[in-house]
Formats: sequence, structure tokens, C-alpha cells
Amino acid sequence: MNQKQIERLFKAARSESAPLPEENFEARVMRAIRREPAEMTLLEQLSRLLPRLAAAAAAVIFLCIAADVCLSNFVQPDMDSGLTQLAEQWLFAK
Amino acid sequence: MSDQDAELLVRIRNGASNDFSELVRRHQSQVFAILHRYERDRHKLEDLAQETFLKAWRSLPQFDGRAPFAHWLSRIAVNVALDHLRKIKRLQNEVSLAELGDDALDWLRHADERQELESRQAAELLAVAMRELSPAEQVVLTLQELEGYSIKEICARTGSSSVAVRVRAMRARKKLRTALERLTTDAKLK
Repeated sequence: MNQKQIERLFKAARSESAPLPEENFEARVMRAIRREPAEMTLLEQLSRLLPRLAAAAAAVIFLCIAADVCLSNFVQPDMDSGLTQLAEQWLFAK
Repeated sequence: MSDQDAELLVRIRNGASNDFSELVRRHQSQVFAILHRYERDRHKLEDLAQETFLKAWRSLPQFDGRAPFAHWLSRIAVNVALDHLRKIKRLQNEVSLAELGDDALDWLRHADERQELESRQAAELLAVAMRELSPAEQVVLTLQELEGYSIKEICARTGSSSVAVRVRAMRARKKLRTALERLTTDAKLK
């Protein structure tokens, strides 16, 4: 295939007309735009994040209390009395 | 930028988002014409056109109005086409005769004679042969040969340097010729 034939091919393809957009194509685009999430400010993003942060903090506090109750009742004395015991043992040993 | 576009853009920026539909109506034919050079399937073409306008909507705050809105939009359309070509390149890059009609095959067999090919079949044949090219080469060759843009205009639309555009155009022509020669040989054997 020579350059002249390729040029003929380009020339023929150039004159092809594109299909017309469907009727109400702009309505389709506007529907897609409305589905887009709106752009949020930093304050809006933070206020949206706040309930999740509060829930996570509450969960951590609850877990710590539960762990402390379990450990002090079933496993070993709580940290406070454990430390006192250690200090007394150290004093008496001297 | 046309005064009417400028007026509409001011209204949209002031919160009249529904006026964007008027911009879509004005420029949809232009966007379809650009994208049709890269995607021939009607449904996919509409999806790409929608994506172009969505991207334009999202980037509207960055549009400074120095260039006409139509130019800015055409640049977005070319980028959407380029992304699309990259996606489909991963799935298919084999050049085969199976997708060509009888007229295109016949033209390949007798291309040396003074036989003319219809515009649709010529575009189909080029689309098949262009699969041998990289997406960036396809875009450059299409803009240069089918849209008739100069190197400078192609640089503005693709954001590439003039050297890169020239090199891509040269490589693209070479690869296209090889692909067409292979298709011609296959068509003659068929």
C-alpha cells in the first residue's frame, strides 16, 4: 500500500459525519450531574466525620472499662493495688 | 469565547446549575464529532460524551475563560478519548479482517485500482488498522489527518510538546502503513 492510497483512505474517512446525539441527551447529562456528590467544605467534612469519631472514642472507653473490670474481678488484682503491693515488698525487702 | 457562552457560564457560576444543560445542547454535536473518531459504537460514544460533560462540569471552577469554551471542551474530549483508547488497548490490540465489511475487503484487494471507498467503510478500515498504534499515536494521527489540525493546534489539545507530536505522527504513519499492508495481504489470501 503506497502513500497515495493511504491519503485516499484518509480523505474518504474525513468526510464521514458523526451520529447525532439522542434527543434529550442534555437531560441525561444533567441527571448524571445531580447524582454527583456535591463538593464539601472542610467544616462540612469534619462535621460529617464527628459522629464516627465520637462513636469510636466511646467504643474504646467501653472496651477499657470492660477489660479493667474483667481483669480486676477474675484474673488478677487491679493495677493500683498491684503497684502498692510491689512498693511494700520493695520497702520491706530493704 | 462567544458572548452567549460567557453569559451562561456567569449564570452557572452564580448558582444556576440547570443552565449547564444549555451549554450541553450547544456543544454536544462538537463533542460527538470528536469522540466518534475514536469510538464507533453508538452506546459507548454516548457514554464517552456524557463523561466529557461531567468532567467539564467538575472542572468548571478552573476554566479561566481565556480560551473559547469550545476549545477547552474539545481538549477534555480528546483526553477522555485517550483514556478510553488506553482502556480498550489492554483488552484488544489484534488487527483482524473479521470486523471489516465486504466493500472494505474488496477495496484492500484492489487498492491499486481507482476504486473509491465510502466514508463509513474507510473510517472502519482505519479504526481497525489503527489498533496497531499506541493510544497517543492514534490521537495525534486522528487530529492531524482526520480533523486537519496543525502541529501547534495538536500541542494545545493534547498538552504535548511539538517534538513529541512530530515524532508520534511519524511513528504512527509508519505503523499504520505496516498494518494496512498486512491487512491487504490477508485480504488477498482470503
